[in-house]
Formats: sequence, structure tokens, C-alpha cells
Amino acid sequence: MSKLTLLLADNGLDKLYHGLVMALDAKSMGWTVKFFVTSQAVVLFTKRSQGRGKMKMGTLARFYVNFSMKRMGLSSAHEMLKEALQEGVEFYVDEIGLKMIGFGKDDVMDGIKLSGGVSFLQEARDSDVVVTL
Amino acid sequence: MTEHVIDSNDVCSMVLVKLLRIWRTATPGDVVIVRTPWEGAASELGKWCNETGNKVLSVDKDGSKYVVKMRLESRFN
Repeated sequence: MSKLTLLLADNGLDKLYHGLVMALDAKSMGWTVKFFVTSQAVVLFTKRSQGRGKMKMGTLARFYVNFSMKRMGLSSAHEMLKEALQEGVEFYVDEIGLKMIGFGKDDVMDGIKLSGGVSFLQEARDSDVVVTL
Repeated sequence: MTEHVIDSNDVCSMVLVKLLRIWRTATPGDVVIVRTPWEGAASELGKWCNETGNKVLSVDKDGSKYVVKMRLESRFN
């Protein structure tokens, strides 16, 4: 079975969206998927955010993209994150990154594990595909 | 033989998740018809079939939608 490891280090919603697309596409082919979240991206995986955030683009562009996504009937990153968890994508949030923004283990969404750089490196070494966002 | 239909405007990943859930419980020989407005979906589904041991039977256009008919020939494991 093939294996995909993702590393997300940015809190822009557009990058999370790309990561979730890769994760779900890989899962649909029966791949193992490990999704590491570090640096600023950890805030997207708190119970309060749950994959909700802002796309990194100008206000008008963001408004237009949000409007287009709703008009076209596309799922949000929040909905895709729920599907990814349900389908067994394994998410790992960087513990230090979480502490740095004033959050702890209890603030992370259910079903998400804490980890560090060693876990990412070992999983990445054993993967067929590694994507960093 | 059961025929499953996925009619969706959503992003390809969400269609693939629906396809995965059908494949997981399907019997080899079952047919899945995907109706999507995305032209790229036909080639994506062809590649999904190659990877998973399934087969695209036909790709047609019906109004604004592409209709991809597939036969599930393998079991999910």
C-alpha cells in the first residue's frame, strides 16, 4: 500500500484546503495518509477553529472566492477535515507550536494526536510521497 | 449487479470519498455512474480505476455534466 505524508506549516485556509484534497484523494485509493501540522497551522486544528480560517489573499479576492465556492456547491475545508478524520487520515499537531500560541492538548480537536519533528522525519522517510505546504 | 449514482458538483476529493464508501461495500461487478460538471474528472476517475483495479466503461456528456460509468472489478482491502 502506498503512503502519503503531508506537512502543513501555514495558517492560510487555501493551503489547508490543498492538503485536504491530497489527503482525501490518496485515501480514496486506499493509501495510508499522515498529515503533520506545525508552526502557524496548528491554530486551524483547535476545537474552536476546526478547519475554519482565512484564505491568504486580499479582502475582495477572498470574498469572491468564498462566494464562488458556495455558488458552485463546493465543500469547505471544515467539511473536508471532518471527512478526512472519518476516513482515517491521521493528523499530528506539533506540541511546541501549540504551546507557543497558548493552547494545550485539551484545546486540540478530538482524534488528533500530538507529535514533534522526529515523528515527521521518520514517517516522511518511509513514505512514497511527501508534500509540504 | 447494483448500479450506484454519484451526482455532485463538489470538488473531486469529496466525489472520490463517496466513491470510496461505495467501493468499500460493493460487490465486484457493481456499476458506479458519476455525474460531474468537471471535465478533468473523467481522466482522474480513469487514473483512480487504474490504481484500484477497477474500470471506466464510458465517458459521455449530458447537458452541462460529464457522465463517467465505471465497473468495480476489485474488492476494497
